[in-house]
Amino acid sequence: MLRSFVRTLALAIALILLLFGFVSGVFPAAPAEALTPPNDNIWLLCLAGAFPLLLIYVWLPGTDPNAPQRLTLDARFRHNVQQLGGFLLVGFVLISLHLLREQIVAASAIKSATVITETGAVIQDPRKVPEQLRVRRGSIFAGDKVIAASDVISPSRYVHRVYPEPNLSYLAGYYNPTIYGSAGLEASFDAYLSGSEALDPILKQQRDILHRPVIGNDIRLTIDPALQNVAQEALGERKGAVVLLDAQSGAILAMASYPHIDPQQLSFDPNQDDWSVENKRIIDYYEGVLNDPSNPLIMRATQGLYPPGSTFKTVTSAAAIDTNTAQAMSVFSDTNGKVKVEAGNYVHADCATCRPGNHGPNFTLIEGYKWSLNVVFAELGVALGQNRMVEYARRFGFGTRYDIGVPVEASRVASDPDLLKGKNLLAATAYGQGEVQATALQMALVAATVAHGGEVPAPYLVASVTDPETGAPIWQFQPRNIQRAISPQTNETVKQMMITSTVSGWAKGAAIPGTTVGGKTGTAETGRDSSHSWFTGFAGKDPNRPQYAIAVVVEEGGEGTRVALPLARTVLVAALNR
Amino acid sequence: MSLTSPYKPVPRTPSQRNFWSIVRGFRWREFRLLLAPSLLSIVGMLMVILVPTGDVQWQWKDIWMSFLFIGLVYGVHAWLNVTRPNADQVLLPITATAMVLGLVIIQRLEPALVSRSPDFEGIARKQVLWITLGMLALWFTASVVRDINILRKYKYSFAILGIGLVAATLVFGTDGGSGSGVRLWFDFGFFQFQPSELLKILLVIFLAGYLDDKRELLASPYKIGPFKLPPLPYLAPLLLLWALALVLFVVQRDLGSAMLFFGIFLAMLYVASGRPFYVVAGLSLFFAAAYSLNAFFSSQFTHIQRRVNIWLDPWPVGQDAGYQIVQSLYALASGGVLGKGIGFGSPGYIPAVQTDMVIAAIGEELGLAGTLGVVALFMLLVYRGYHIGLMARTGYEQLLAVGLTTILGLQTIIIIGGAIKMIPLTGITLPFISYGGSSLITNCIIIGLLLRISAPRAVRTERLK
Repeated sequence: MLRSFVRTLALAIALILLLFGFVSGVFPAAPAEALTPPNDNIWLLCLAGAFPLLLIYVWLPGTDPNAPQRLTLDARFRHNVQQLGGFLLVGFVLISLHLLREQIVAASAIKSATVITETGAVIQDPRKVPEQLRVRRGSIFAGDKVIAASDVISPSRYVHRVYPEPNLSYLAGYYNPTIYGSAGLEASFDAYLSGSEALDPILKQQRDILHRPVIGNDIRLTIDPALQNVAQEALGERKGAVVLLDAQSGAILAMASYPHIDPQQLSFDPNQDDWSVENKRIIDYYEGVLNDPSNPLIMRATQGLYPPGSTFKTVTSAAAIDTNTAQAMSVFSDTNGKVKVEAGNYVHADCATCRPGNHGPNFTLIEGYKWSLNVVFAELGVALGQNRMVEYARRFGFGTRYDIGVPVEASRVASDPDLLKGKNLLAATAYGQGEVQATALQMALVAATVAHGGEVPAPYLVASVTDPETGAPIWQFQPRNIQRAISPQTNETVKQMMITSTVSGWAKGAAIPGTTVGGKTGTAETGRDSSHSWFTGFAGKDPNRPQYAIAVVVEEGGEGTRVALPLARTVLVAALNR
Repeated sequence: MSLTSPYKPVPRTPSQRNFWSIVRGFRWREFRLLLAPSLLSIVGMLMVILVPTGDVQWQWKDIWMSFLFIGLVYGVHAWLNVTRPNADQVLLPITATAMVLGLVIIQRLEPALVSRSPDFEGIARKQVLWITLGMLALWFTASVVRDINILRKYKYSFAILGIGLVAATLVFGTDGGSGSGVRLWFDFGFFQFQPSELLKILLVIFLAGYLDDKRELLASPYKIGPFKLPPLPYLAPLLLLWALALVLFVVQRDLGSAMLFFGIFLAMLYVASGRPFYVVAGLSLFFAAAYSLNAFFSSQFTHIQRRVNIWLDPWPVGQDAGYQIVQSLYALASGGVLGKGIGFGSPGYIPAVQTDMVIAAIGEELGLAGTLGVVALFMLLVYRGYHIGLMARTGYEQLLAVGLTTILGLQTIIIIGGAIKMIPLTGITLPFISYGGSSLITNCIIIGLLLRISAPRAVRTERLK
C-alpha cells in the first residue's frame, strides 16, 4: 500500500515538474526579449528533479520486501539488471522529452535567437540568410511596370531581387537579407511578399513536405508609372518631393522624391563568386548613403518635414470659416505690411513681393489668401486662438501617421501644442511658419480634402495583393475617408478661395484652360538665407469634385510661384491628359 | 521463482546441422526485419544522390554502397543461419538500421564537409569500408570464436593489455590533427585508431570475469569485529583499475570516455553485487578523488568547469567555445516534427557533425521523428542486450552481456544528451551512426559477442566433458 502510494506520488511530482519545466523560459516575458534564446535552467533543474523521482517509480515495484537473501542468485541478478535497465530507460525517456522541447516547444524561440556577444560578434542561425535568399518573393507592380521582382538563379535556387525602374523602384524600399534586412514596402508587406501570409495552411504544409518553393504574392501599387516618370523628371535633381493624389479616392498616383536610394545597390546578388565581396560592396554603398549629407534614406515625400509656409493658410482659412471666426469677405487691416500681435520686438510681415500696389489698407480674407498676406493671417490666427488652430490642423490630418506601407512622418503644428498659447507663435503658425512642419503628402491631402467636399480621404499606395499565378486579388484596399475636416458649406468657400487664387491671385500661373484649378503657393522661410518652394492645389474637369490633388516642395528652391508652381502644373497637365 | 532456466536446451550439435535443419530453423524473423534497413539504404542513398541535382535520373552504380551493404547484412544473416541458428534475431537488424542511417547521413554530409576542408573527401566510402570491416568483426566474434570462456581465462591479460593501450596513447598518441592536444589516437597513416574504444570492451571482459569469480564474496559483508565492511581485499584490484583509468582519462581530458568507463564500472559492480552501497561509495570516491586531484591537475578541472558553463549557457560564447552546441541547437530547432528532409537542411555548420554531433544532423533533416527513432532503436537494443544477459547460461556470460549492453546504452545517453544540451557535451561517438572506424568496429565486436552469448552452441558437449 505505502509502496504504491509513494510510487504514484513520485510519478505525479515528476510529471508536474516536467510539465512546469517544459514551457518555462520558452516564451519571452516581454516582446523586447523576443530575440533572446530560451532559458533552459529551470527546465534542467526540473529534469534533475524528475530523474530520481522517476527512478523511484521504476525501481520500487521490482523490490521485494521479503528479504532479497531468500532469492536465488539468478533471480537477484535479474532484479539488478531490471533496475539497471530502468535507469537507462528513464535516461532515454528524459532525452526524448528534452528533444520534444527543443525541436517543437522551444524551436521557434531557438531559431529566432540572436545574441550579440561581449566582443560584438553576432550569433544567429546561419540558416537564416540562405533560407531568405531562397524565398521567391512576389513582384511589386506599378500599373504595367514591374518595379521589384525576384530572379531565380538555377541551379542554386537562390534569388536575386531586381529593381528595374530607376524612377519607380525606390518606392519599394529595399530588401537585403544578408545585412540590413528590409525597409519600405518590402518590410511592411513582407508577410505577403514572402508568401507566409494568405497561404492556405494545408497548402503550406503540403508544399513544405514536398519541398516545393513558396512563391510570394504580388503587390499592385496605385502609382501610375507614366505620371511618376513625369513627376520624377520634372523634379530632376532638385531636392524635394511631388505627391499627386486621386483626391476622390486617396490613391497616390505619383510620389517622387529626390534624392533617393537605389535599392538595386542594396540587393544581394547571389551570382557573385565571393559573397563577402558582395557584402562589402553593399556595406560600402549603405555607409555612403548613410553619411551622405543630403540624407537619401529619407523619403522626402512622406518623411521630409518642412515648414509649409503660405500653403498652410488653406488650413487656417478653413478653420476660421468653419468656426465662424471670419468669413470670406471679412475685412482685415494691413496698412504697411507689418504687424505686432504681442508686445515685444517681433514683427509679422508680408512677403516683399506679395502686396499689390493699388490695394489697401483693408483686405478681405479672400484677398489676403490670394495675395498671401501674412499680416492678415497673423491677425486671423490670433482671433482663431490656440485650441481651434490645433483642432483643425488635427482634423486635416496633422499628427497622423498614415498607414500606406512606407515610412510616414506625422506632420505637426508645433513641437508642443501648448506653445501656441504664445500669440507670436500662434500668428506665425497661421501663415505656415513658426513651428509648423508638414510633409508633401500631408499638404497634398489638405488640397485633396478641399477637392473632396471637406472629408479627408485615406491615402493609399498599395491597391491590392494578388495571387502570383491566377492574378486574383487576395487583399484589396477599400477607399475610405479618415474623417470630416470641415462642413461642406465651409469647404465650398475654401474651394472658391483656392480657385480665385489661380484666377486672379499669385497662383495665376497654375491655371489650365478648360479645367477647374485651385491652388496656393508657398515660400517657406528656412531660417537660413533661403526658402522652400511650395505649391498645393487641385485640378479636374468636374468643378464640384476636381479629381487630382497635388503638393510640390522644392528644398531651398526659392519662390513658390517660380519653382514649385510650374512643376506642379506640368504634372497636373500630364494627369489631366492621361 | 518461476524464472526461465538459464540453461536453454540446445538440440542441435554441429554434426546434426544439415540442409533440412537449416531450412526448418531458418531465421525468418531476422530475414524480414533486415528488409527495413535494406530498403532504407536504397531509398536513403537515392535521396542523397537525387536531392542536390533535383533530378530523377540515376544509375544502378550510383547506389553500389546500398547493394554492398545489403550483401553484407544478408551475408552475415546467411552465415548465422548456418553457424548460430538460434542466436538472437533482433540484434542484427537493429545494428544494421543504425549503421545504414549513419551511412546515409555521412554520404549526405560529405559534400558539406568537403567544402569546409578537403580532408573529408571520401569519408562515405571510408565509412563503407569501416562497416565492411565491422561486419567482418561481428561475423568473426559471433561465429568463429568457439569458446567464450577464453575471454574469462585471460581476463588479467586483457586488463593489462587495456592499461598498456592507454599508457601507449600517452606516449605515442596524436590528437588526430584536431589541434586540441587531446591525444586519443594512434596514427596508422590511413587509419587513426582510438584505443579507448577497444578499452571499454577489455574493461567489461575483465570486470565480468573478476566479478563473477568474486560474486558471492562481494554480495556478503566482510566482518571486522562488530563492523560490517565490504570485502576490501577483493575490491582492491577493481579500485586499482578504476583509479588508473580515471587518472589516465583525466590526464588525457577524455571526459566522455571517463564518464562512460565510470558508469560501466558502477553498473557492473551493482549488477554483480546487488548492493547500492558500492554505487554510493564509488560516487563518493569519485568526487573525493576529483577534489584531491584538483590540486594537481587544475588545468584539467578548469577545462571541466568550462564545459559545464558552456552547457548551462552557451550563448554568450556562441562564437567560440559554445559554437558547437549553439549550432546544434539551431539545427535541432530547424528540424521540427518531420525535419527538412535528407539533403534539404544545412547541418554542415555544426563542427564534428559527422561524429559526436551526428544526432543534430539527424534532428535537422529527419526531425523529431528521426531523433526519437534513434532513441527508440537504442532502447530496443538495450532491451535485447539485457534480455540476452538474463537468458545466458553462465554467470560470466550474464555479466558480460549486461556489461556490453550497458556500454552501448550509456554511450548513447552520454553523447545524445551532450549534443542536445541536456548534459555537458563530451566527445564520444554515437554507436554505429557516427563516422569512425575504431568506434564502428569495436561496437560491432560488442554485437558479435552478444550474438555469440545468445546462441550457446556447444553446450551439450561441454557439459558432457
